Amino acid sequence: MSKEITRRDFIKASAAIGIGSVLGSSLIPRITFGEEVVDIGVVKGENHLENTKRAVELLGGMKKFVPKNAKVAILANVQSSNPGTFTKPEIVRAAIQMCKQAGAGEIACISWLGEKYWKNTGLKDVVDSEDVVLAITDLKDESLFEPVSVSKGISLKEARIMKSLNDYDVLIDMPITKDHSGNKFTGTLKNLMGLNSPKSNRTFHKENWETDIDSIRHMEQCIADLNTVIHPDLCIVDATEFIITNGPFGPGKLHKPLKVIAGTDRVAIDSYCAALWGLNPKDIIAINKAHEHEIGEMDLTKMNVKEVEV
Amino acid sequence: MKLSLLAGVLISICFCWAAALGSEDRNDGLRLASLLPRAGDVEGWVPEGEASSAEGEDLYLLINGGAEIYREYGFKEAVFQTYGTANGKSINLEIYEMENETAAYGMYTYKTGEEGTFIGVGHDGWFESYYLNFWKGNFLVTVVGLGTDTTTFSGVEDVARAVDKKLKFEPKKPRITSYLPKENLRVNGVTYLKGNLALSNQYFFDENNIFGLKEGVIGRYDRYSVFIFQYSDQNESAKWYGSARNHLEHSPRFNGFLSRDAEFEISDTKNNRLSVKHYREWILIILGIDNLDTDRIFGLLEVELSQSTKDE
Repeated sequence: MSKEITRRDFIKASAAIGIGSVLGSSLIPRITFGEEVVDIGVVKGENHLENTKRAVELLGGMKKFVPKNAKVAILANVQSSNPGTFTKPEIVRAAIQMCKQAGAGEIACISWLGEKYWKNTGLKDVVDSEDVVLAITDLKDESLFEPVSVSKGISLKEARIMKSLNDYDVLIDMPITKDHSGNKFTGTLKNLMGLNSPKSNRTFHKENWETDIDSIRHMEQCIADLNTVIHPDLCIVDATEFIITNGPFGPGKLHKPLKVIAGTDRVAIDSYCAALWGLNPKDIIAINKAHEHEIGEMDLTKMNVKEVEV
Repeated sequence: MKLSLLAGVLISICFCWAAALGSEDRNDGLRLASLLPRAGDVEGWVPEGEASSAEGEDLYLLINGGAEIYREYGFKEAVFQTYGTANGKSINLEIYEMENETAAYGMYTYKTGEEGTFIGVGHDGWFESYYLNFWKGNFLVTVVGLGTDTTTFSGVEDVARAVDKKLKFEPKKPRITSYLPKENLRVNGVTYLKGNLALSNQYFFDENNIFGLKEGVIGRYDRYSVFIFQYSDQNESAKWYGSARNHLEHSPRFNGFLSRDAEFEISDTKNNRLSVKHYREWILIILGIDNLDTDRIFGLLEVELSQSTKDE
């Protein structure tokens, strides 16, 4: 049974998840860089660590997102260790170093995937060498996930989100963008399934494991619905080298735009990333559905995308 | 007395039957795991950690949304194992037991691209960039090198060969693949299709299954690709030809619709020209540039189809 959440509870809970959570997308302040308002910062080049830092600097620096002493949760993608399928260690390292520099009180990489995944992707080394917390929620223990009513949900009426997320003030969504055989694309929106319990995620796929378009629409709507109750404060996307076939697990053909993308508008960022390998964002159902939920802007001509090549 | 003896015999039979079923189940489980090379099987490479496995829908837990396409082709079970060397090199081995050899071959053609090299492992062992795929019987084997050094690449091949040695099957490809004209067909240029998900990942016509596709094949040639979709009879193919024609004519993704007899043409937004023809129990499509001699290509296809079906 769902836990009833009143507006006050919702705002309180949202505040615990992050500042952006209590604001509608139209209310999210645009980010200024000097005199310029930057919506999406993109840095291209070989040095992923430095380029990640530059991408966030284009938005005004990590201090804009991480208040002093804030507790920060980082959500990276570690599902597979095949090349081009997981967030690269140096990109996560850069985010951690920036959070430290901004004065974060605590930094944790959060996940319901076990330590094995973190070791296999090399991200455990980053967690250890940067001396931050690896907070793993036991995916088999449903009591560690709390029901959250999805009031705007069309297909997903109740999410089951990691309780530990409430321990943090700031959430940084750090996917790798890549191919997905079911819905063609995965990015910031889909990465948030990493906070929802696997049991709930299974309901995103229709019963009897069907693969028809209705099932894919259902899954994409669920992803968009989930994004109405989790609002990351910042997204940093690994688009340096990623698979464009056989996704999301791989192995597949690698595409190398060598880009790190930072911003707060998930719909705009995913639209930008989809176009990196010739996809039309209008063909990606989750992007459309999230736009319909007013989570963000699909039309990149309305966004200030600042690109720098190093 | 006789009754109790009979009851005893029956109970014993039931126990033996249940035990036999149980052991058969266990053996089924073991069969896939037994394909994994053990320590000492591949020089320099040893298993690292526990193997992971999944049956049916649980494949989602192993490969997340990648599971859907396996479902479309027909999936039974999978086992994954990482291997490592003393100096820290790593390889991922994935073995998929598919429902039948058609499913295994189909997933193989789906997973492999054209930029690779055939190596003599299993059926059609194909090495691409950093990974290798082969199929054999109803098994699909994928070996991934987590590095680009020669030690890792040799290990990928050696691990694949170790699995291959344990599989004894003769290759048997779906008949529809033989309908593709061989001349100028690109190396590893065939993709076998079992549904709209696979088709959409190769070429996006529409999110709906407007061709009612259940079985098809794509052949890639130098200047064009050929699609053959097979139906149970001419009435079914005519029905789906009509459906596709109606959808594509009004689709915002396409323009320049032209129709004649049992054929229509249309262009996509990337200036590819599609010629679609209804021929007996098939729908044939040529996708390529505008000035192709489609009459000649359709003619070649029809000869192949007529000849192949005559042979059947």
